[in-house]
Amino acid sequence: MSNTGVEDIIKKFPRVYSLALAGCNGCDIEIIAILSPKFEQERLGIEVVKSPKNAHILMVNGTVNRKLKKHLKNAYDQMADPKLVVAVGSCGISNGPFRECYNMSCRVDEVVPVSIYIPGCPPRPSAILYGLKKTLEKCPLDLAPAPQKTRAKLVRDKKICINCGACTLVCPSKACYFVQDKEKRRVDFNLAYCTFCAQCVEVCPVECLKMVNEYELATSKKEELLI
Amino acid sequence: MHDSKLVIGPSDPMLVEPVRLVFGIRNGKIRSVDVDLGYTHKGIEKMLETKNYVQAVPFVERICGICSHCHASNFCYAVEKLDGVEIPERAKFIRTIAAELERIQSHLLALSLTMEDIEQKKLMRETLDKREKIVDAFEEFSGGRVHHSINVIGGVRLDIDKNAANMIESAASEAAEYSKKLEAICKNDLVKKRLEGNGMLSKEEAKLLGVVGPVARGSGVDYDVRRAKPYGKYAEIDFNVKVHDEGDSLARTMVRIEEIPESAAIIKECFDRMQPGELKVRWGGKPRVGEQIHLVEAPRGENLHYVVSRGERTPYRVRIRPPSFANLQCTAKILEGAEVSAIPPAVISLDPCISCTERTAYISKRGIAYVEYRG
Repeated sequence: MSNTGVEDIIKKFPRVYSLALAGCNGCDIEIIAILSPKFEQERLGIEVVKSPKNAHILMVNGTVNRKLKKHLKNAYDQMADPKLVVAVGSCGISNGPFRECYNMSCRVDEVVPVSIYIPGCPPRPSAILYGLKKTLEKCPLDLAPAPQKTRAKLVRDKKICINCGACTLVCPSKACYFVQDKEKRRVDFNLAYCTFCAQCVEVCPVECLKMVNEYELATSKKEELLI
Repeated sequence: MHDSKLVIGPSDPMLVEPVRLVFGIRNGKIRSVDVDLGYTHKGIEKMLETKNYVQAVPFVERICGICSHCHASNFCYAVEKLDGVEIPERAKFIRTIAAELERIQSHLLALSLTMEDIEQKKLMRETLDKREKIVDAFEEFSGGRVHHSINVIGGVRLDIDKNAANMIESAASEAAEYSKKLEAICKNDLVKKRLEGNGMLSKEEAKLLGVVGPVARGSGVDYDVRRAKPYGKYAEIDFNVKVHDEGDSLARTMVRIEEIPESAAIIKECFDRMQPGELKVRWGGKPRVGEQIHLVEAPRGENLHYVVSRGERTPYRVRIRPPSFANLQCTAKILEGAEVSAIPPAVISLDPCISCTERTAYISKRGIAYVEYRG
């Protein structure tokens, strides 16, 4: 990002263009829900625009398939500098559950540089706003808490976990997998792949897994999503 | 006069999803419409052949974010029918409640997009606000705003507790009340003039094109899977199927508006009759050899799942025919001879869901997934 003073304008009045790629529509409607009076992104100074040409932030959701790769690059090139890219949802980060499908060509961050990843399947509107806050450090401090039952984050107690791999059999997107660590074999969880369906929580024999309602997952380092 | 082409897409504010519509225009009137699909094709049907039946249910749910419960429950119904599994009564009630709640949610979203396209920003926001209540109730009940993950083969995973039941009932009745207001607004000239006579589809054409759901019912075709082939609890519940004969965008919008109170009434009746009991039955994980078709009425119309099993842990073949696949084909018919300004309300009144539709792809010589309909 070049230092031209435009950053101040971006920080105060960012204009966001939401680009839907080959997803399932879920993240799309959560981004539409930000427009509703309950979340009201405009009070934060964020404006949703209808063309990438006058946007500062590109919000990408969905997977990149063969037909869309060129289109994503094209949308990014149309934006004026300085520009930021936010990847929303598991699909935007890693192609999520669809990453082994035959029509996937690459990930979003292989085509354009991504500054913030917001995991979730789909992330709640508050989680998306939190992600934008991380990008801009500009958001009300009191984000409403999610209900107790919300499946927003998977936590694992590594002390209890016996690495039996029962979760790998039920995971629809292979977010948990075996890793050979010297002589021991362990199970790793990657929230970038996760669909947050909580089937692993149900099958865990020692109950080391838990779904909690903390949705503040947005991060600039993908490694932090490994639990 | 010169012939010209108007290309909308792949990313366009009218339809949030990537799809390319190519309009051929002569004398300012639309002559032809090409729907260029393939932008959201992922290859879900092929992937399903590698997943076991437990993994497949959340994966099927990710076909579409708006009718996720319909796809998941339909897949479960199909496998249960194939293997002869009888699910508990309470599970049937919970699936019915979730399906109807999803119908209200989807219709409110479609209505808010309709309002946006005829430049009624305030109405759009109000409708979205009512939808938020439904989504909140879903979150309280299942833990997910969009993808609920409540279905498993043999029943449901989660029970509706008292708090969630109250929220669901109040949200549904609030939406039913709001639909009365929308009905009155649609009689107003501001809305009526934009939608009336726009995108005409006669009854004969609707039958020929095989459209389903609110699009068919807006053209006078009295067809609803819930009544024609009852599943879940619909055989025992009394409800009306709303039909309009006009066949224009206003009729389709009115069908959606009038279906909201019906769904709210079904939810209320389900809560009244629901008894505590088992949620799911144990299922071995391997269905018997055979094939089965199951239909459900998704918010957009008839949704078909076809499962072939060879007695293995993974399905041999799954074919999914979502409602938008049928509905999108009438774009050329309803827009023939119309003006360019008629495009957004007509296309939105079909309520197309592109990520549902992209099940088939034709791979051309250059290796690009490409699907085309010519009207």
